[in-house]
Amino acid sequence: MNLEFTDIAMRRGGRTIIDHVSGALAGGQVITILGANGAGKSSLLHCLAGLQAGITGSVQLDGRPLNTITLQERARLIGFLPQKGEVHWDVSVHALVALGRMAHKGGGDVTQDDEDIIAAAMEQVDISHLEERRMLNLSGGEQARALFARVLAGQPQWLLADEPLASLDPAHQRAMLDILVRTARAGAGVITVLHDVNHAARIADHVILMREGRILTQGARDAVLTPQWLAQTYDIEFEVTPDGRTFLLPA
Amino acid sequence: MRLNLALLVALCIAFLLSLLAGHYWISPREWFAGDMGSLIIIELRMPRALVGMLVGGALGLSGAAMQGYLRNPLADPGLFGISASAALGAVLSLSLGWAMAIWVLPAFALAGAFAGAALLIMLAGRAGSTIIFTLAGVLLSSVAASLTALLINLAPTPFATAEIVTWLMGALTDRSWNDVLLGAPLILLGMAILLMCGRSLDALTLGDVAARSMGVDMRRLQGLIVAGLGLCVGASVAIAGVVGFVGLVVPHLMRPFTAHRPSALLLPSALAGALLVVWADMIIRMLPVMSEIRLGIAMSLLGGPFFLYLLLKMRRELS
Repeated sequence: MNLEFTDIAMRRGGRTIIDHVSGALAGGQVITILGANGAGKSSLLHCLAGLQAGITGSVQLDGRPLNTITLQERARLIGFLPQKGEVHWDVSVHALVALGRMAHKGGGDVTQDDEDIIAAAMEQVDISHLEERRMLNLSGGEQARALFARVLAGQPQWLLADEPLASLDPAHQRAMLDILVRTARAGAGVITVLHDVNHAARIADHVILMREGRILTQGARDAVLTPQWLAQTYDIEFEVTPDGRTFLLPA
Repeated sequence: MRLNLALLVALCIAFLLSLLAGHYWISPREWFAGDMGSLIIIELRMPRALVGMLVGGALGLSGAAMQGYLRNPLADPGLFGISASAALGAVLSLSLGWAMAIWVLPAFALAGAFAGAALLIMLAGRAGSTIIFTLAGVLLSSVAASLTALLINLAPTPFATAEIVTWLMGALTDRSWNDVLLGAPLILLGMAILLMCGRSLDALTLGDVAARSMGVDMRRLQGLIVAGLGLCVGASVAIAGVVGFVGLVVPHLMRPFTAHRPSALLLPSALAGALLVVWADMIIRMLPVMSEIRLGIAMSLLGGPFFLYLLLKMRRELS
């Protein structure tokens, strides 16, 4: 299970957003994309999910060009959690998570198998007790977890999440990071845009560092998450604890 | 399912009651007796009730589909210019004096509705911005209304002016089986198309990007919505003139009973829209006035305060 992207480039409003980037990602890993604001992290994630129009280059899933895979099959293979957690109607948590099964149903009703998967997804993000509650009555953190459960319910081979920790408190951030790791260990590829270097240090197997639309470097966590590379990425010096796992901003 | 069944039963009852409603009492035993009474029932009241059901169903469903597609609870084909565009098309055929052939006015109304729906969706984009959508709707509505006014202004004879103005008010008076046969296939096809959009509209609850990631083909959905709205609204305007607010009021009343799911709202909105128009028309017929109030005017009188209620409710929620 591989996701390859070759010479991806994208311009918007006369500005280069993604500047001819390439890479090969293996499933079963947590891959994090890091970079300063405007570095092109979210745009790259959209390209990998096949959601970005007007790009050049190619994205291949197990050797199959993404644009040759039907939208339904693509939706089953790639689960995508957008950065902006929009919920326009006051549906129940259960109804929202059940949307994750949409690409699997082929127009049919929700089966008992679907119900079991939906229940398991809610259990994973600790929202089973909110099942009957209305989405617009939930806190921001509860909404974020329900939206994440929707993606989990799709049981995708690749889970792409754009800043999934925004609006979560530290305890739920930690729980979410654990879920991302568990999902990868269960065999899926997890690609996530993160802002906190320490979160990446905690969960990533593979890290992509971006700056001004280009990939500065990518590779195994310990080779990439170094003060030198981070300084080039963010224009700021990080201090690192002796175990090499925690990055501190100088006081 | 239970809601749809209840609405269907209520609609059947309303249909039968509407055959009784009118200035002349005709007992059910005389409905098919072959005399003047049965002529009134079969040639006047029955097609009138059926046209009301078709128009109400089409407008209720159109409102629910528009609200789901644009994720905007204020979306309505009447308020946002699609009906006005259909009316502009129809008025153009009347002012040109081409409406002699039975198919010309509906064809122009349909063309107007298609153009209006496509323009509105193009102008509003899919960003789901309530402000942009409202402005686009206001723009379309006012341009269509001013062009209609221009056509009235330029009408060749006072008779043509009167014909256009009366027609614009929207009514079910004197509808015939021709109107039913003309409107039914177009409206039923439009409704079938809109009913196909349910799952995609559910996915759009989470926004455009999430919906696309869930396998929704946005280009296809947009095509289906434009086609469905064009057929439903265009055919409704063609057979009954402009009847506003049904598409706004009905989905709002039904939404709490459908757990706020856009797909679950579609069929109940069609049935409740039909129910609302049949009842409204029945009440109009029973009113003790010399000149019958036009349905379009009655619905506007009802819809105005409802819109005010929605506005105040939204203002309260925002504060």
